Amino acid sequence: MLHNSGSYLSGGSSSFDEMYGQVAGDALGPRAPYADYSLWLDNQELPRLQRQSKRAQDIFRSIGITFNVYGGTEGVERLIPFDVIPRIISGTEWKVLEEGVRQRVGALNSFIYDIYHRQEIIKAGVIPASLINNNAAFTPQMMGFDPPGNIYTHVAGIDIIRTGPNNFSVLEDNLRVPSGVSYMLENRETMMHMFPELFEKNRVRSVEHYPHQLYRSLCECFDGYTDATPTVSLLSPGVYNSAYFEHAFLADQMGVELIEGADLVYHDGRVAQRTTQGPQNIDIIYKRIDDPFLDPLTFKADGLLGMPGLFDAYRAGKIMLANAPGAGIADDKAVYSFVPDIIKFYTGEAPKLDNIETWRCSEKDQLAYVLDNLEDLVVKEVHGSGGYGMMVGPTASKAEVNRFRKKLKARPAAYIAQPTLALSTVPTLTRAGLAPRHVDLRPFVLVSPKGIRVTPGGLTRVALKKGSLIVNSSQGGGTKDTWIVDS
Amino acid sequence: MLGRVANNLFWMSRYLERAENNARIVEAYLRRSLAESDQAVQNWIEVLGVLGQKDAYETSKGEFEQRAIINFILRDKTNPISVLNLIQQSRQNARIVRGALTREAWQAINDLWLSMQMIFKSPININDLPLILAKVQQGSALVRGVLDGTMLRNDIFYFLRAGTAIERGDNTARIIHKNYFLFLPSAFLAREDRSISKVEAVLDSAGAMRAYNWLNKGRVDPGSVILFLVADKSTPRSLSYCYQDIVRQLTALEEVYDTSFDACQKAKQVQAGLNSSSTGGLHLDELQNFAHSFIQNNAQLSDLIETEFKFYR
Repeated sequence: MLHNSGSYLSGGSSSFDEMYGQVAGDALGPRAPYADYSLWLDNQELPRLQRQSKRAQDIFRSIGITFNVYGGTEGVERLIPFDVIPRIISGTEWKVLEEGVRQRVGALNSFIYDIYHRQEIIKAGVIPASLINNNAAFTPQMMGFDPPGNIYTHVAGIDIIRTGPNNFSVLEDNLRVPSGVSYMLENRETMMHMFPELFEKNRVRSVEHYPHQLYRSLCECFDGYTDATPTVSLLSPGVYNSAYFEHAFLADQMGVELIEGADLVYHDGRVAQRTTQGPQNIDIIYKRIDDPFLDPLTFKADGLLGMPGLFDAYRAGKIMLANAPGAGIADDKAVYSFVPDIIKFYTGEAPKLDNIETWRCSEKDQLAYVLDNLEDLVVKEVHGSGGYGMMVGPTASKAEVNRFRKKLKARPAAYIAQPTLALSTVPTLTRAGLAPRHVDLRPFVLVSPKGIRVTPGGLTRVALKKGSLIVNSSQGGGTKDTWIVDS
Repeated sequence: MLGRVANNLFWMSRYLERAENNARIVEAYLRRSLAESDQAVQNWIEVLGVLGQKDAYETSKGEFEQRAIINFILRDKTNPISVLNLIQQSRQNARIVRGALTREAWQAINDLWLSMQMIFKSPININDLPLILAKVQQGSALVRGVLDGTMLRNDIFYFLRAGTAIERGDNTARIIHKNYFLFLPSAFLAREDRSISKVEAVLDSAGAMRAYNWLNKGRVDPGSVILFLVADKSTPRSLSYCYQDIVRQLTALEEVYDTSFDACQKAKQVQAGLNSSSTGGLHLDELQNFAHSFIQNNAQLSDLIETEFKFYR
């Protein structure tokens, strides 16, 4: 049996542990959301959990839940490690998160609309014009255009970290092509398959309706544009893309065609897909390719993944694209630091979810602070992503710190800085037993004129290396099933 | 349905059926070469011939050697139609259209591919061969069974089934074509036990041995064997049965798409020709030409399906 508090391996950090509270292994017992689960866990033998863990990997491999690795041999498919210990959040805690996320995504959608129309927020002096004009994600072709339903961020993924019992903050907004939702769904499916007894005891909120809700949410944006049920297709870069599994999975679950650029043709002035019976018109494209590749006539000239003229068809109202091109203007790191002001401007409310304290190096006094405290801060490139162009002060070498000092002085506006945060931990199965590992959370949000839906939970990513704060799958991260439980 | 998807479905089935058929042919010859150990290498060269891989083998490996031949046919990565590569291609086609398949069907083909990757990781020990060949055939049968048991009867299913039937017809016809001389009327006169065993191997390669024996009470007579493989309406490996199946799938597609297709007409013509052979239209001394023209017609039908249903890659 796993006498959890006794056998729980200390992470050696002062991070908040979501199962056991402040200090791992103390005598206080599990926190309330984990009460039932931990009774079950106490009665589990470690070898059984490890066997189940191995089985989970086999299931994932058999279902083909893999991501393709770039740069290696063609067709190399890897598994994202799945941890069988769930991450549990109470219904009460979730309510705060859900409301915060809903408020945030609603405000960001309004912000994008404003940026591509009258730019009131700049006129009001809330954000500087340079933030938009010098931004690579700003898409001038979208100026003055009303997307169907005035929705830009049909699907959003908001990355949230936790630092204490009541301390949730947003780390990043993903408004272009957020991915990972298939892992959220498959993780649950796998857990229910392996540990059915857990779902009898715990009232875990269901996530399974996400694909149907996505379909409905997209169609709602298109209401009034056609009398018939719109034809939706999912546009993927194809079988060699790293997220191909997710594309195929979602298309299947939504009951729509999975298409590639080569499947698209023009037919009677409409965008159509090539079927066994000739061209079939499409109304909505859920695009899983990046904007620059959408249309070589409008964007990057060597983009081969979309279709020439697709953007013109979009502007002419012949087809809906989700997410809207140019939505990325609201999710880069420079804009991030203004999101609390953006929320206040469009909703008149205070933000319900905190941002992480961020120093904008474009501002003189803030730059001075950052330069004085480089060893304690995380410095990020404004337009970087995936952990590139980043420096983590406490673990960086002296030389690296100095290199960043020079970079900051040369191009201050290209950087922001944030404190190094103690991400919360959740018990995770390791060879030696359960050990605390750092996690983050990406809830998935669907936006339509009828409302904003947040799927309960989301994708929990876990840094599997001891002490690591990097949860990216490319750097040894795994995933966990995320439970929202009602007591 | 996208023309690209139809193409992937059709070829997913064809490659899988080919992998299974090739495994069955190897199995039949393995049994024979165990019985006639003095002829072993000669038998394996014959297998290469039946599979149409003799030239490719010689170019790639040179000398004929039992172990090398077996490995070439089954697991050689440089041989585009090795059983391993055929399963890989079937699975890749399936992966591209996995949304068109049920979860069970996708998992069946993916599991087959995963297990073949393990099995074929290292060179094959001839002692393991019967087990390996059985696994290939079982895996393929499982995919076919899961498709049958879980898929909606719509165009997806009809393209899959048409692919299987066309590939199987091609396989049976090729076996007949390569062995035509066993069935020449003149060969009857010179018949001795060995040629009977060769005729049996033909039945065995086509997967029709037990069925034939059951229907003919074990009497192996070359004329009946050919008629059985060509025109029998009850054995799923005969040319006639394959065409019955193809016509059924194409007719179903005509219904789904509410239009008529030349491919369906063509299939019906081939079927009529096969039926007439059972009523005296097939002369054994014409067997080679007959098989050859069937293979050509079958390939033309496949091409016609690709154009009429707007397949593309």
